[in-house]
Amino acid sequence: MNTKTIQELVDRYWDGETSVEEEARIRAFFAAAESLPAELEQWREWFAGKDAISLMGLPAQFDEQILVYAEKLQKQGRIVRLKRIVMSSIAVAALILGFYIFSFELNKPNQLSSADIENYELIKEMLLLTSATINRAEDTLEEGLDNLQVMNEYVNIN
Amino acid sequence: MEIEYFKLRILPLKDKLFRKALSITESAEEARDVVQEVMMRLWDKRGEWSSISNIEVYSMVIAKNMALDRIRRSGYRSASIDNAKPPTYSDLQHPDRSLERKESAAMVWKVIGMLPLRQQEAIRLREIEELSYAEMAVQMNLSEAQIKITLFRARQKIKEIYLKNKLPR
Repeated sequence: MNTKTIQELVDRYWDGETSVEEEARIRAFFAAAESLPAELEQWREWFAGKDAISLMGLPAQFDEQILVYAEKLQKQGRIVRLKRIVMSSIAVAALILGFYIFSFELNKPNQLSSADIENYELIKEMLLLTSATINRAEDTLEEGLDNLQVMNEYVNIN
Repeated sequence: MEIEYFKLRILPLKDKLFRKALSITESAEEARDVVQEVMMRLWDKRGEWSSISNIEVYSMVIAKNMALDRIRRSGYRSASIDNAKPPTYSDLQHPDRSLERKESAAMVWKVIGMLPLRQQEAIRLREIEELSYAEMAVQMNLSEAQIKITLFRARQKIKEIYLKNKLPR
């Protein structure tokens, strides 16, 4: 780029008529120029300074730090997901096992112990005895009632 | 997959984000912290990447808000021209670390700091972030015509500073 062209671009720059691309060309020109005529030299600091700013950035070391953070979080995320899968699997397995045991217990034939049978027989006998005593008492009461009716009829006749 | 996308699409935005944060905080250390926070937040939100239409615009907005928030919290940067501090360059990666270039860059920040606030923002968006008039209009909530006038006035003022040698040496 010759000095005439750059002078025209600079004039248009100050008038706010340049595009972003043209402004980048101006910056690069001033940053690279060895010696310049006085009318252009006066702008060198501004344009070369902006060029220096446009090249500012963070070192590659920064990328490494961020990637370490990201990979660490990703790893933690994987572990958390794995833990969730394991816990869910254990919960499902426990549920299935519980259901199986419950249904097994329901379908199992009654197997009573000898003590249970003895207790059952004893209670049965006691209930039968109680029942026989109640029956006998009922008979006695009915008999007494009959006697009372006979006595009543006798009193009414006399 | 996510880490690859992050490496290819998001991490390369770091320099642009850095310059954005730097233009607001005027501190390389603060700007670096902002970019780090932005990157971490973007990674934490990796499940939402597909719903973000423009990841670059999205990350620039986060960086801007974080940088402004830092200024508000720390009161580091003053809007006053007299108190405007140039950024430090101690940890910056410059292809050319010559003193002259560093001084030129520092002078640019100082000159920008001499402008009224609206013109400062217009110059930063155009000169540092290289936004188009349309993009600047959205960012500054102004019409494109207003943007062109603001930028024109800002450049005329800068030209005058250099011509009349009013540089803050």
